[in-house]
Amino acid sequence: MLDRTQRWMYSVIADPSGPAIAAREAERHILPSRTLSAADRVLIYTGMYVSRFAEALAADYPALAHYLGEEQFNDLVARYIEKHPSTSYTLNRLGDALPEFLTGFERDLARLELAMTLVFDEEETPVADLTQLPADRAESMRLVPIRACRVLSLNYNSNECFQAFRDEAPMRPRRTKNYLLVHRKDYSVHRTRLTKKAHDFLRELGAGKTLGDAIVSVKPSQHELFEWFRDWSAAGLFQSFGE
Amino acid sequence: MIGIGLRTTHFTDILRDEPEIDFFEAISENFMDSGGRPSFMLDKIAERYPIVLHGVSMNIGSTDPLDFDYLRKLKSLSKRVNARWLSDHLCWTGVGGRNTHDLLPLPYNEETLHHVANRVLAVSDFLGAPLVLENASSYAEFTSSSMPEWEFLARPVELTGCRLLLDVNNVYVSAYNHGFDPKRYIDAIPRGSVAQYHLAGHTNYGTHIIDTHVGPVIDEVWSLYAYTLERLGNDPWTLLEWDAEIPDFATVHAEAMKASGAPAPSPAESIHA
Repeated sequence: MLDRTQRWMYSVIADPSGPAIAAREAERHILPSRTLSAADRVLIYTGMYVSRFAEALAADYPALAHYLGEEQFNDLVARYIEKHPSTSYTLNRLGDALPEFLTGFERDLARLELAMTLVFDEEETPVADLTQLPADRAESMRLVPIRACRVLSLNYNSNECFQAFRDEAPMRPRRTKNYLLVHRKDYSVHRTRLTKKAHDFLRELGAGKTLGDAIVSVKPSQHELFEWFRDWSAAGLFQSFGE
Repeated sequence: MIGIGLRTTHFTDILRDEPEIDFFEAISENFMDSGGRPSFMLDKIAERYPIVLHGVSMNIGSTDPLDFDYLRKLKSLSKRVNARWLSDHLCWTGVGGRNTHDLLPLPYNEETLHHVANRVLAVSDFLGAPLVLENASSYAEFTSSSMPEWEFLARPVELTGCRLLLDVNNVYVSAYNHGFDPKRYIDAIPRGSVAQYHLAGHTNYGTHIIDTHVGPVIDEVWSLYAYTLERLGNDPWTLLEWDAEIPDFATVHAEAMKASGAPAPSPAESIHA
């Protein structure tokens, strides 16, 4: 009986046909109050369902929510949670599939915001001192990036648009290939532009390639290597190294 | 003991000013899966203040199996911050593996009571401590209920040895929505069963009240709180929740501190009247 009641109430709350189910069946399950009918009472929960998820997703995708506007964003959330209802005790990972649900600039911007959320929440890992990298065996070393780090290849100026959102300026999306490092240092999330070569190099290291193999694959100049490691060392981008 | 619900917007103020407050209550799910700034800040705050953990996703009343992955993480977090106790709501949040992330009401009858009691025992056993159960506010009542909410809340105390988190605002909200006398509810709670009280603001839509945790506590709820202290004592810790349109820490702190001088019930409202 309890299971039947809960499954009925869940369908009224989460199913797009919930209001019709409530109109037909609420009186069998719910008592009216002095001011509200049985259907009106259970539909209070229905009314809060999408808005709760919209609020949670807007916290993870604030620039996307701003870009779309409230009505369009809520409509997106309603369609998204119908396909991807929450199956977890936490709302933290509810929006992980949202970028794949979108196309074009919106998808690109969502990928950036998802990377920022993931980096924000990742477990803290120690930072390796790259000055201790053994010079004579450096090429055989594998460098392991910290967990709070993502490397992105973007198709639009999503990073600029995100910054415009932060600065309360208009977003002007345009198609342009660009590369970005999103990482956390001292519990703050940073976004740093990368060249294609630097992006590819970090990808190779992230995939477990040795420094030597990454160099052979990407072919950076000595100057590029020097600058990358100076910057990445300061950013605390690697947690360990070893053969 | 007077505490405040820990919210991320106040982290910096708390660590910088170390305000005079007896404890903080952290929402368990906000810290179970984050290794970033929120967890770091919680650990810092736990070094300076007692912490109680308050959950919204245990789903204790659901017919779904208990989520032991969730409970493992909860137990680990509790140990990490040395939580004085763990509370969650006497409700269900989802079924069939789906989570609404809402605190949904239960039918108050023997079937539900025994279902909940068995799960409370299993959870308390797993956590190694009695669970603290909170009365959730509700907007609907089931035709299949056969007992009042206050009886349904008090019975698990006898059956499982759990303790209660009595949300005075929720009593007021549900009393308004369902048309019962809130004092009758308070009268039915066994003295000594309450570990903690909650206070919060709400939104009155005329036809019904929604427990929004927005704004200050209204006078009627302060009055019911005073009545509650008179009936159930002031040993339980009192906590103020403020979750929407959250003001600066000083405003929340000032609101919480009103609990230290909660007005006595007016003569018309007093149980002795």
